[in-house]
Amino acid sequence: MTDSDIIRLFFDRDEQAIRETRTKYGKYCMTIARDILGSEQDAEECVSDVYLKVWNSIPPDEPSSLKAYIAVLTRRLSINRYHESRAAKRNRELEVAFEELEACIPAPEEAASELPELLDEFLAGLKDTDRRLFVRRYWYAMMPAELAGREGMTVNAVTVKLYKTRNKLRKFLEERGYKL
Amino acid sequence: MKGKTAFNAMEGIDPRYILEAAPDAPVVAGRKTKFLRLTAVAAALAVVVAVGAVMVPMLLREDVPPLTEPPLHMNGMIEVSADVLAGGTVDDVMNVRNQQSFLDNPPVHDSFTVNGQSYPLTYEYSVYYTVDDIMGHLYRVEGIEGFGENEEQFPYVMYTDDGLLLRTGYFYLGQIDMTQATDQDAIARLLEEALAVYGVSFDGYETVDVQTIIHTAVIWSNQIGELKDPRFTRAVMDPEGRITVLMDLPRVELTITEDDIPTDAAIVAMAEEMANNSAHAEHGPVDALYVEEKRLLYRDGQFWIDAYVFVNKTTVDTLTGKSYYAGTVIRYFVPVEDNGK
Repeated sequence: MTDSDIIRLFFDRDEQAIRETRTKYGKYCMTIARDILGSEQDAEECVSDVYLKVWNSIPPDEPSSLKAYIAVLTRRLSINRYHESRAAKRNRELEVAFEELEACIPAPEEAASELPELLDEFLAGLKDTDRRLFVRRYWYAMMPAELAGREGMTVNAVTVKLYKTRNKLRKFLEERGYKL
Repeated sequence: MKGKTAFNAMEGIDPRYILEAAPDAPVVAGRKTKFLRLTAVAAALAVVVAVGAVMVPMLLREDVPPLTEPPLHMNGMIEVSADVLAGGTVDDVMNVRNQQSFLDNPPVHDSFTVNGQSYPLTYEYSVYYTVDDIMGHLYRVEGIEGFGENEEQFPYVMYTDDGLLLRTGYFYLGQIDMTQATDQDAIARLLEEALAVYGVSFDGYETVDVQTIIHTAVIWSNQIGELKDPRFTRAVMDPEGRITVLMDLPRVELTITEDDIPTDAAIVAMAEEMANNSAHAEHGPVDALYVEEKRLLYRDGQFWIDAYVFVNKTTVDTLTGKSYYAGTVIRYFVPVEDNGK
């Protein structure tokens, strides 16, 4: 079923929309949630929340890309759930990702409104591999070892590439007058 | 920018890039590059030594602002496992953190009693710093409302609750440098060199995951200047990635009985009162429900219960600005001598 067909089901308030969404994007959502939450059970609960959220938001929303729309919701709900979880359940890899980004993105009051555009501009200027690594690490919260497997690189090479990309981002923002 | 906030900032990127990097995108075939690994290890050796020489003195500056929360200073802490509270055995789970206060005011007993059973303390004490330590502490700092979203109070330096000094910039650099040393022998050499600078020998290591070593090494680098006590003679890394620094101290004795330990109900009541008089009640009353986890600590000459209490409270979604009522876990330290009985 195409995304347009699924969106039409949502607009028709047909619960088949959720079943179709689960069939088409369930695995995708689970991957995103699992990488962030580090727990199968938490991820399953979170993805269930995603379906409800999609049901409640389409309509009025009518996303141009259902996949991206669901991905953003899954990531947002996963991060919210993650912040609510207790210390013992914390995902070390995600904390590391937080730390890494912290060193190259300016404070929100300095770039809140234009940061997405700046990030897009920065990402557009990267090589395909570097951009894919960066987004997978800091959008999908994938671990370096997983990235290495996906890209056919060593973990070493992945971390070096991410390191260089973060340095580029920091320099990119500094050149535009942002202090880190 | 606060790490998690920076992570949130990534949400608004162009959907094209999200879809391009989707996990279900095709896997690229590739090869491992031995040359790169060797080069990276060599670079890591050089960089770590250089970074250590430059950064450690900076990390030990005394003009950094101290953490004003939590109210209790955790120097000289001895941990006893939760099994003790359940009537189990002690085994070898005791350790001392931030030993300076401990050294200044060592305990005066050579055994202690829990649930009627006496346990000896030999005081060949260990100082453990693990990845769990640092990540837990980072969480703790972030979790303190009034601090977590206002990083200006921690411009570059953070103190943890037990005096562990964290400098995010260094944490970042150290992580990258050590990550390059994926070879275990190289990691061992790096640690050995770092320890040798301070006259501490490195006895050996077991295979552990690189991230654990990275964080351990970073913590170690941050703390090493404070370990220049002649009583610290050896360092060993165990299979869990813990660096143990052994020190030579006389036998001592501590005493506590089961009756001294506060009940869960008393802990919950105290936690609720404390939470409702803190920033946790910023958005509404806090309801403490139950003790999720607890352990016995000894520090500053007395015992404490380190309790994780599950509470319900109103908080605000950082992304939407909407408030919601939800459960969370808050950590409290309850003095044993003031157990509410």
